[in-house]
Amino acid sequence: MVHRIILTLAVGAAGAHLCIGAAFAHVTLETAQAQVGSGYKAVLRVGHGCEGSPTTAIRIRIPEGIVAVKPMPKPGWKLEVVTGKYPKTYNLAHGVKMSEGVTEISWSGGNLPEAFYDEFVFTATIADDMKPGQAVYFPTVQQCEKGVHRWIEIPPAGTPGGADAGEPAPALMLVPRPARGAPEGAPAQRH
Amino acid sequence: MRILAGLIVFALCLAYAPAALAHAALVRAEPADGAVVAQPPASLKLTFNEPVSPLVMRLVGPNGEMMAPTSVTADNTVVTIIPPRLPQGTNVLSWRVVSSDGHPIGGSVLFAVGAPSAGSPDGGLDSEPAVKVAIWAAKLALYVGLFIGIGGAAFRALVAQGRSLPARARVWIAGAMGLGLAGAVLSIPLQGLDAMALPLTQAWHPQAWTTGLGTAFGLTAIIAAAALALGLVALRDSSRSRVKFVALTALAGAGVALAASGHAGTAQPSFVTRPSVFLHAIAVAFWIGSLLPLLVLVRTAPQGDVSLKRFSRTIPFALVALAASGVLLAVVQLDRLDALWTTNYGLVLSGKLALILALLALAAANRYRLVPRFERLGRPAARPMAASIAVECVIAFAIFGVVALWRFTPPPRALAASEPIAFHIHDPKAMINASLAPRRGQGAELSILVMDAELHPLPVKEVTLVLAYPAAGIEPVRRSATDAGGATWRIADLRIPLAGRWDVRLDILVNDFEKVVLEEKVELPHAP
Repeated sequence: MVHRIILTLAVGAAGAHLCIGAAFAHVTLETAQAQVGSGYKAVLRVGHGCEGSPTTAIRIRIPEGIVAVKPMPKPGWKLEVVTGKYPKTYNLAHGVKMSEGVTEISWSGGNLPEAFYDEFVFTATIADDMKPGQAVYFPTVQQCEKGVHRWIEIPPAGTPGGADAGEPAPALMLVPRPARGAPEGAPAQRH
Repeated sequence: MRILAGLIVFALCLAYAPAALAHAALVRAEPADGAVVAQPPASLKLTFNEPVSPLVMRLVGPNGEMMAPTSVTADNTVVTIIPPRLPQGTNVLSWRVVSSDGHPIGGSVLFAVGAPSAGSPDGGLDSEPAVKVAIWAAKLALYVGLFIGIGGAAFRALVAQGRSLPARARVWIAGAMGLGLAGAVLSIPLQGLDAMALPLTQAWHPQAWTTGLGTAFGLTAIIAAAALALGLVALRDSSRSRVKFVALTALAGAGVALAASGHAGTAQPSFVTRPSVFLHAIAVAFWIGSLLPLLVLVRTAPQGDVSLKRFSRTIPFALVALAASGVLLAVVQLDRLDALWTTNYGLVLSGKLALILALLALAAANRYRLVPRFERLGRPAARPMAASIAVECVIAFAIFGVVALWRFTPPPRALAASEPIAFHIHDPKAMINASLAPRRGQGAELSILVMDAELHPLPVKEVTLVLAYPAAGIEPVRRSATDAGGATWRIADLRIPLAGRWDVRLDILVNDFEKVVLEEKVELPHAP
């Protein structure tokens, strides 16, 4: 019984290690799944600069259906947001309606050397009427001292993003909200 | 048991320790991409941003010749390649390495020794003579198979209906088709050898086959082989209706095969020239293919063979089609009349025309003098008739030999202007019209017009060209285009080390967060 648990943990740890190792190659989201209709804390992991050059800015575009976005400030970096109208009005908890909000976040003016790792964080809510079972993509532009990496490649609808894609956009897979009575996911955004 | 489990956990943790390294990237190349060096470099260095392991290193010379490096060593992040003595002109180092996360990356570095290549006068590559002779022989064998073989099978099915041919005729026709099949198959690696300027001894190298199949001629060889196989089936079959159908399909296949590639079928306007080549090929097959069976029939069949009469009635139509399509193609290819004797292409055409006139004269003598005599007198008049047809066969064979020389002479219209190659790639979101114009001694100039789905010019932020030729082992070459205004982007001085079907990819950055990738296989010329 005990050794079965240990083995499972070991395999799980190994798998997690494998995933972490490969994923550091690209800019990705730490939690790659979120429930429709619930809150979500996005942690964008940046493990590399551009061919050795330090990262100086991260700009991320928020896709449709991700609303009520609040980025986390980072010391030493200038945080700016671009707001715009959403394609439709979304209904949030407690009767709150949103028709516009943050569509782009930019952390700039910083310096993240190639040898170091950092995370860029924002919270958001997945709109209620998003279809589960599909992925949403956050195209990200990583500006460096010399050069730029555009993590903006989105695979055509219906094909899963291959690990071989050159510079894929960070992806978030939407899963259905749990049935009534089951424990809920992260609490929705509170204003 | 628990100790074992513990050991397994420990081992797994060690084995799968997070390799926090990413795909490597090339930081610096010596000599740099696009550089001109005075002397052939003693060593080539590639520096990456993290340790890599070299997989494949290839060198391509200014004439498309492949060279293997003398030695390749990797020291941490630097890979050093010792090349053989590199020739003057534009050389390509095509590299492929694997980073520690197992992900391979590749690219190509183009640099020039002395001065960038001026390019040979006819834009062709210098293969060794043995390869050229072999290509000519394979083409001749292919013509024999398509015209004498399939033509003979068509004669049996259409003209000699119901009366089966003597066994001797069928053996010869089957032999011709077998020769054609051998020619079709062997021409594939020979094309590959010619494209890469490799010697004949490398004919069995898989790369020769993949490159050959990748050329436009590869398609011709495959269709021709299929048509010849059908022809063999038609020869053996006895059911009249099925034989007709199979033989006609084989005949059409022969026409399609020859129209699929080559200077004649690709000349503009191609909706006129391709059908002309098709018609020309079918007419030739019908005419020349009938000679051998007629020869045998005249010798063995009794007086007044119906096939001969039927042939005499239908051949004028074939001759008219032959002459009309031939004149049209010649007019398109020659831009001036004196090109007939001033250019190599024109000389070959003049030779062909002279031989055809002789053939027509003989055929006319046959038709108006010998055939009526044969019909009147029967067997005694067979010998001069058979002799005449035999001479016609020899002249036809000589015509094939002369026509096969066209493989080595570009037509005047291709010499007159460096004709730009145009291609178009589209996607639901964006499309491009591109035009590639070779410039003597300066590579080629590529002009790209970017449009949206409604064909309006689409202003975009960046356009990057990625060229790769995996069949010949050339890793991607990246070039950034410069904005020339009006949604037009230009790449000047684009060096293309080999002629052939390249994988062309255009990465179009529509805005900061959106990129459209367009990919297509395009036949590109050699542009050193």
